[in-house]
Amino acid sequence: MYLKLIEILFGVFAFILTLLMILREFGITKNLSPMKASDYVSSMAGFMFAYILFSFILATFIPGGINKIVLALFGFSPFIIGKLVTYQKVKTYSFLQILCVILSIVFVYAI
Amino acid sequence: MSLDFILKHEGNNSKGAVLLFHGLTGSPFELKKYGQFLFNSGYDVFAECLPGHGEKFEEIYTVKYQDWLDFAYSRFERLKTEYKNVFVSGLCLGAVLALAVGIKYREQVTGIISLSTTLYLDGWRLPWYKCFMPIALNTILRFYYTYPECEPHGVKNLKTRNAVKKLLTKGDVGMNDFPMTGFKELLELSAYIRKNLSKVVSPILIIHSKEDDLTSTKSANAVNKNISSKDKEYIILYDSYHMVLYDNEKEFVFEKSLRFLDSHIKQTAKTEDFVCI
Repeated sequence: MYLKLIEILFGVFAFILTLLMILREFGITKNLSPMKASDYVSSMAGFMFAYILFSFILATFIPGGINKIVLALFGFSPFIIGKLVTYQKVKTYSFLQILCVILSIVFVYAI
Repeated sequence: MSLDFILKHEGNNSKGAVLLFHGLTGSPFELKKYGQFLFNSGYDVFAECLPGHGEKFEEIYTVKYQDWLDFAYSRFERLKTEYKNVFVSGLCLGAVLALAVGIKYREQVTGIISLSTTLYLDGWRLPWYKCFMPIALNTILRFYYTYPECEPHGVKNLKTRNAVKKLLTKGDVGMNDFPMTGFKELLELSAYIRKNLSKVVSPILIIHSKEDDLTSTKSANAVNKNISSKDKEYIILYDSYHMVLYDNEKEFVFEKSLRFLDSHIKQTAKTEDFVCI
């Protein structure tokens, strides 16, 4: 029951995060005032925090050793990508981050 | 357009050299009046743009704090070969760099003037969602996020604030935004400085505003508490924000700085200055 609830919350946060990241890639923040654009990215940080948190919570409660490892890796993915990303390759790594989040949603709902 | 300035007296008529460092996303322009005042008081003054703060805005996204350190060290070494007395001073990030020079060159630094030292980003102007900063700093989001320059622009004095606003709109005296990548480098540099504060032994003047909007007095307190300098003075301002060199108490800051410099000039000549008879 609780696991289902955590899965749903994880899905919601991951979905919103994906949406915000994709919209940003399409340039939505360019049409906003600097302060609004700043708030937009801050909300992404909030959802990313929730995504990371729920990845780890799910990794703790989900059955199966491999599943735990995979979910923990998804939870760590923003930090791993954050370590690797450079200014010149932001676009590539943004795409990779979006892909990771989408894959994690698919993974959680497939198992 | 370069905003660097070097104010030198003709011949060897100066009391000493003062190396100035500007703040994060700032430029030597913010030190111009201070520099001019010190120059008029008999000092040679040197202020150059820090790496990442040049004409290309994207440089701030690629600069590392090591670049800032290398820059500060090289400028100090160059001046030390020319002057008996070399003071270092700076505002915000510049104050952190002045401390870095103090940590590395210890007794070789005649004195440090640390203004609005930014070892922690905990000022009252920062938004409530600063709690997400660790997430933004350590993920790809740091390349997305820029914190826009906004009221009060670090200035309490309304007239000056409006003037700063106008200048920032023109965009040729500093950046309009604080990119998160710059914050990350500043915080990493600050962590290094905090760890090594005990190595600072030079005389030091610390000036910090009680109402600093970017960094609270916690930073200045940490400096005051952890340095090993025997000769230290810590002044808290009560009618200024972060930009103490432009705010209501600027004259007081200028005067205090000058008094500090004048009282710490080493009168002993270098060995090569003695003439053997």
